[in-house]
Amino acid sequence: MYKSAASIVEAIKNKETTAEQVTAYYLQKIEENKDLGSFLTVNEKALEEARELDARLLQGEPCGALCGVPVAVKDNVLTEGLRTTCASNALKDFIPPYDATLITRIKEAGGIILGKTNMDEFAMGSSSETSAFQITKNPLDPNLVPGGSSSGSASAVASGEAVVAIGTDTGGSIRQPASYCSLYGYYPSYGTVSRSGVISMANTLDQAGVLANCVADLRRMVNVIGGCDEKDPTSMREASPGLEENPSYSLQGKRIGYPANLDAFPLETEVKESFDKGIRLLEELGAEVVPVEFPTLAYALSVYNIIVATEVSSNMSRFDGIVYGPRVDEYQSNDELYKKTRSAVFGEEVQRRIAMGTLYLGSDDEQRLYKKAMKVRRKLADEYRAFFADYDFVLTPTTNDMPFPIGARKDDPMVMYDSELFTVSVNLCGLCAVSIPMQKGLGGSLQLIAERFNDNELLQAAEQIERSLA
Amino acid sequence: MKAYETIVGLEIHVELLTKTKMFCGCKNSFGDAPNTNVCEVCLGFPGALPRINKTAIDYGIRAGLALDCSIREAFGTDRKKYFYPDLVKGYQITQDAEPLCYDGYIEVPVDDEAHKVRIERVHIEEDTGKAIHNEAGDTLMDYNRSGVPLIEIVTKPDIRSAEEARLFLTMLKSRLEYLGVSDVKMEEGSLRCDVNINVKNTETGQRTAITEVKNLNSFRAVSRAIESETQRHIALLEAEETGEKETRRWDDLSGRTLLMRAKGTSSDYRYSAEGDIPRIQLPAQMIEEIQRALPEMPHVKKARFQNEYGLNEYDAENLTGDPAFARLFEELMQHTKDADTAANWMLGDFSRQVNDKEIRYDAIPFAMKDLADLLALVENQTIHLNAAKKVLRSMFETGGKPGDIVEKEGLSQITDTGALEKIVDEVLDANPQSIEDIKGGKDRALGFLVGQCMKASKGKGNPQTMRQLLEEKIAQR
Amino acid sequence: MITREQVKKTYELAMLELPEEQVDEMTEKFQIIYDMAARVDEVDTEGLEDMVSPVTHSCPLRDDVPEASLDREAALINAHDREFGYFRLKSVMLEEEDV
Repeated sequence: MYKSAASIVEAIKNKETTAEQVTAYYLQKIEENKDLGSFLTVNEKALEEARELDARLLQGEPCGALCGVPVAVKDNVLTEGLRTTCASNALKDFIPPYDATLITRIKEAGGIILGKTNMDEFAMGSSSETSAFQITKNPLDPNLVPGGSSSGSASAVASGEAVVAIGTDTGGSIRQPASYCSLYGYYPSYGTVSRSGVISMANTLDQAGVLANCVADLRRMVNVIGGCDEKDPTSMREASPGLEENPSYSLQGKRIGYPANLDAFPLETEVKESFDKGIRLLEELGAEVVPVEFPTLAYALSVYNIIVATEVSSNMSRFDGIVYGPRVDEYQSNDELYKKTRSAVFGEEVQRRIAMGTLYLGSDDEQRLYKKAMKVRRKLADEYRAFFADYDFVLTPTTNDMPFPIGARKDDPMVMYDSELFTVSVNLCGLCAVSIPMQKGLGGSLQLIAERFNDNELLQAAEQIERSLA
Repeated sequence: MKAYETIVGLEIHVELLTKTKMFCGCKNSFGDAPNTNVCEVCLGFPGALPRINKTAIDYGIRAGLALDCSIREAFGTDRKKYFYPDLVKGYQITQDAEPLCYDGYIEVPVDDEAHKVRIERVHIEEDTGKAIHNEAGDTLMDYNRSGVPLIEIVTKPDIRSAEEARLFLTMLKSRLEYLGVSDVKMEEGSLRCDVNINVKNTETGQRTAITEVKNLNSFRAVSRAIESETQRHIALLEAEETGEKETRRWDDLSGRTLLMRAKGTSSDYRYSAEGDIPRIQLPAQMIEEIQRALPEMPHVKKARFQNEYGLNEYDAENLTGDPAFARLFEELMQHTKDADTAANWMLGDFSRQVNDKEIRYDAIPFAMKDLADLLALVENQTIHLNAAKKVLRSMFETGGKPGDIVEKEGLSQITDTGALEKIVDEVLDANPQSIEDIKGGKDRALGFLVGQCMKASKGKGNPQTMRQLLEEKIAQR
Repeated sequence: MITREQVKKTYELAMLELPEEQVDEMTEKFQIIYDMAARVDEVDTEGLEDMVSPVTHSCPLRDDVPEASLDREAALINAHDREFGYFRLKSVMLEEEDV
């Protein structure tokens, strides 16, 4: 019914509808699409909260930027009083006593939390198949995965169960599902959105971001949730990301580079086709699109693997069932309490990543790979910085592959990593990126990457591309 | 005759007296109801992020400066990983790679020489929660202490004896007290000390493996543990063994250490950079400002007391042990010129009264000028020493001025020699046997007669004058 | 070469159980991932400093002013086991047994 958050806000402002009606509509949609498995928890108070908003609006409260907009939220973001699980048994009954900062900001802007969406367990995965509770299906073809780890957020928007969703992205977890479900997905520059109340996977890579049907909604959401948060010392120092619309933005004369050695990264046919289509479109818009050498890009996945594993291994060590979470009751020592509990509540993928990180940080080889990875990360960042001195954007396909059948990739650890090929260096270097679908149904997406904190221009460029595709 | 050298390094943790914890705004407070000073950060909730306490850094810098350390202007923090119920995140935020302060020292007087004990590092970190047990033997966790700011001070293995260790700790405690950054009370846990010790055969160069000793609750325990371990290590060497790297617990009752069961592989701490805390770049001038505002350190004050007031080392040492006490002495010296007398009074009767009445140095019921006035009354012979002691007691009890007390209680000395001689004559007349004794060489009888004179004079005679007169008159009889 | 022993020791350190029958398979998986990760060795990083995070601003320093703590009930609400105001762990053997 509503194409965008903006149109909902307009409709409510103009009293064409009420927050209650909008929320009721989406709750109904969720009910109809249960089979997709987008949601783990629906907010039972959503309707009540919408009614309360309507009452306040009647009293003269001004319409916020998300006035009456129902938002689906990935289940690794803390919501007060609303179960938050990270799709893991480690948190299966966890009720947070407070909201994440981004949730507070959504509520203050008039947004209504619809519910918590399914994901890969602790965001480790790219299909929802590591979720401890359910699989999510791709609304474009329910035999296929929707991608991950922001699986439910993507399927919710793609199926119309929500108009906009919050996801998180550590190495592509917003962009890849956005691509698989043909949505817009935005990974803001690290520090744009407060991580306070966002459960960490890899804390120097994670950012909350947005999946939506249009660029305008990406912008609207991040303007609301972004900006300095004194609870998160890694958040940007500016009070607001200050993202602005610019209908006259033009890609004319802009220099866009794509990896010269794309042949080294095998692309599936549809992906290649979408990518080529993208290049032509950009050239028609007047951009100069050229192949560029990124010598260190080939190592990005290796660096990513090490950094993620090492950060995960310490971020996950707080899950021991002592202050919160389930715990086994039979143990003969503290060590047993830890081992039995953690082995019982973590899925295999999570355990393996924790173990890999523990290996990399172990003293056996003096943390050689960990230390090396931090230097290669620096080299990669320097390379991008040098690139952006001469170019405006990097262009890549968002993923090298198309959504795969549910169950097809369970056992190969490497394949799961490969699909993050083009997305991980964005997180590693703190850049920003948008995934832009090149068609309505299944197909490839373009990933447009901009310099760190050049989010404003990134979204304006993406919006121009969006206009041309329409 | 084999010669053995004891090699000791100390690892000291000090709780800082900040108002809030290291990484959150919860109160840093001892003794509150369990789990009432906690929040998502110090409980390790998922999604909680650390916010570093500026004052804790300030206090860490003060400690480093007081120990003659170099201070870093820019530094990061690290995660130290191990699993234990009192460590909520499964890692402690600390500093591994770039300690805030490094390369300092304390000079400890050993056998009349100043022996430099080098300080490798002073770094900031957070404390853990506390476990207690109920009757059923269950473990009950209280996280009020979780996240309290600590500094960790690590010495190089420069200490060579138990006594040196005790002296080092005493001097360290004194400096930290001077800074006001911590209570430094080992009995309350705001100062904790672990010992790393091994012994070397100075002839063969053979060394035992290092023992880490924990559970030391007093300076005395530290001292005893070092002695006990020295013997144990020597015994190993004599048996031609070197032992293994171990962690042992000091058992105060039995006076020896006991092996702690190894906690699995938990000694691999797998340090990694703390990504939730951006590198800290100290504001320009912060270190200089702290340096400028630093109170005079005890060892510096002691030297100054010796120079400026001409005090001997013993007095200077004892006057500067506590900064508040030293301050009182210096206030006193504003109003009097005789440092030795002032020192005697402060270290003697003044201290006695303070201890007896359990008065804090910031709650003395009279001004130091009044004490100076009292000293002047003795100096100009208005009252004699014994009376003065009574006056001081009165001053502590009533806060009255010395002059007023002397008058009210009629304590002025009799200075009229005629009156004194009369008393002496009367006493001598009444105690012929004593005169005989004294002439016979029993000097103690003289003291008795002085006492009699003092009684007869109702305490107003000057005992020295009495004694003199007695001696003169006995000689005449 | 990743050895079985290394894998077992790693799981121990991470406080995770690895059933004996899975050790070989896990060792293989580890080796594959490790080899891919170890490709970083090929990169020349002479003279480069570590990059810990994309953040370039200096850490904000919090003033030492008390803030509201969590209400104790809120703090304990997700506890698996509790007794009065404490988090409770059922009795375990003392960790530090004296030998």
